[in-house]
Amino acid sequence: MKLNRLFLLGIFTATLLSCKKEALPELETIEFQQPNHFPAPVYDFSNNPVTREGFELGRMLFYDTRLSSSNTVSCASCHHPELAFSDAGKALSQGVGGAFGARNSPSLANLAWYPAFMWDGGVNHIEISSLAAIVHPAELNMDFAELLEKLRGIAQYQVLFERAFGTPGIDDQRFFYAVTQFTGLLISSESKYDLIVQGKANFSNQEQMGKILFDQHCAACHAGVLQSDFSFRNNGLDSEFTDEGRKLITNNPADLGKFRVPSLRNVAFTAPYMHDGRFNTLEDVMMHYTNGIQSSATLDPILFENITLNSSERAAIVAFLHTLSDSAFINNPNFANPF
Amino acid sequence: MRIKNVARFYFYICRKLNAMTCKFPSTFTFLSLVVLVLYGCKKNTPEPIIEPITEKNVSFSMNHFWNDENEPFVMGQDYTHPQTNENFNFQTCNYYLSNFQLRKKNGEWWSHPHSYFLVRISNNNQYQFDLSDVPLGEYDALRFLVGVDSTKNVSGAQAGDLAPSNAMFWSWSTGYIMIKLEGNSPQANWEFFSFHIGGFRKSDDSDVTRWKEIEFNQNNLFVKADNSPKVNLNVDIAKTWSTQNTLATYNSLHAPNAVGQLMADQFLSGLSLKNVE
Repeated sequence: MKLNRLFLLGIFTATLLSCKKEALPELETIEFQQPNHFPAPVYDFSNNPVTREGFELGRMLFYDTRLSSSNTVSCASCHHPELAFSDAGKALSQGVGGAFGARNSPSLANLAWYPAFMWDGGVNHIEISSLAAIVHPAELNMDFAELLEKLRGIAQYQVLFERAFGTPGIDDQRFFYAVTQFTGLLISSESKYDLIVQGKANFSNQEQMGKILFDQHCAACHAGVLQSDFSFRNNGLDSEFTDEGRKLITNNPADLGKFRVPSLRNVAFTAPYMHDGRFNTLEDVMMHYTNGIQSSATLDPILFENITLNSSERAAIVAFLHTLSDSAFINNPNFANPF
Repeated sequence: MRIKNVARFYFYICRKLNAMTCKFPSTFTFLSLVVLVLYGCKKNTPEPIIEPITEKNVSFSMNHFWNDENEPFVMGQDYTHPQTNENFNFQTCNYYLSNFQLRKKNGEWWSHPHSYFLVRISNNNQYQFDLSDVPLGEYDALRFLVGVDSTKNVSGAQAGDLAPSNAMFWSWSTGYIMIKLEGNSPQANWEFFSFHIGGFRKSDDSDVTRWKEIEFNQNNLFVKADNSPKVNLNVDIAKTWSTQNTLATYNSLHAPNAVGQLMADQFLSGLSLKNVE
């Protein structure tokens, strides 16, 4: 009888075990995490819930040169992770066949907080922010319908899209959702500045002096923890405009020569500066604001009066700007090239 | 052996519970329990229920012509500018219709929850689509938006007829192209014309989307369980060129502006009801 019971127990256990799903290898969870000291993001991740599979697919697409017509250019060609996803010192972006774009490739960080994309704000949603670069002749130069066909013909992508979205099929929405799961999670929130904001570190004396000057002269536009109010302004680079900037989007003459106020996050990594990459160093940028402002009809009123800064004050601001460098962000293995 | 064990277990439980019914367990109660349990395990196979039909699809047919209902509008044929007599030959004519609504007899409007159609004209001058799940009833008017509403213009990646790969979407100033008209004309620069009429923002006066309302005028639309209702609409493409805008000067449009708004108005004036079937 005792043996009988043992036997039954054995069968019972075996049955239970056989019902249990095969154990999957442990994966690090990937999810959107709201930094405590940040405002709420603009992008609503609930429409596009981040999964490890979706994120990994997005990362692969981001680094895949097959996204370009010549199979030589990827998103990462102009957005290098080690430079906070900016463009390796190039003033203007360079795409298929070496063609130059009209503007400097910006850093990609904290995009989920951006109300609009591109220097002129022409793109109104993060999910479609990659489209312009893919189809532009001087960037990836790829017809988007053709790109989807190309991806549908790659066995690996068939598998990865099915894994990420549950059913087979590659379409516009899935492509953009996957890329957004990657780009939306490029969050930089662990710089020295972030630690200080949270009371976990302190500025040096020079950085402290720079912070005070920054608040006084720069923070009206480079506002908040993202160092931008995301408005469009003419910061006095030119008196005549070869690039009309925001006016190209709105048709409004009052927007002539205006560009988005860029976030200054990781600014020490993202040279050269301005929409056309005309300044090579942060010191050059300081010099522009102290004695380089060009007058024009749309010049921002904040810049009507010259900012006066001596060399140690300029150096202090630059020292403060270096506290915005986030080495955890640029070294994050989750963001690295998977190829 | 197994039954014996089950029975023993049953008696054991009964003893523990000391319930009235268990005091004198008989073979009959035991068997009836087994039968009950087995019956309970049987899968339910309910009688098939015939759901009453409460909704039907309404089919729409867009009937395109040039100037005259008897001159079908198709790709690749030669047409003449109604005002300037310049020559056209179309390669692309696509446009969006969306946000369909139908007016009930009591004056209330019923709105379709998600209706976006990309009408594409090819070598057939008719384009058909189905408006799904229209509640049964009688309707005396139709309303829809020509173009894509502003909300969908700012809501990120879309699928189906709204997918950017349909090439009806601007990537550099994101938003839908409402009407795309492309083709050849000897009078145009480079002998090619290309009108991408789009724009949705009220703020900078670039909205080209337009509401079209059509009265059925006694010939009402009946959506019934036993019929396949159909609405036929006429579209006179030549109406888009009902001003003196010559192809020599106006042959290219790739941004939201006043010319686009004028062309949108003119396109709309070419839209009318043919009949309801």
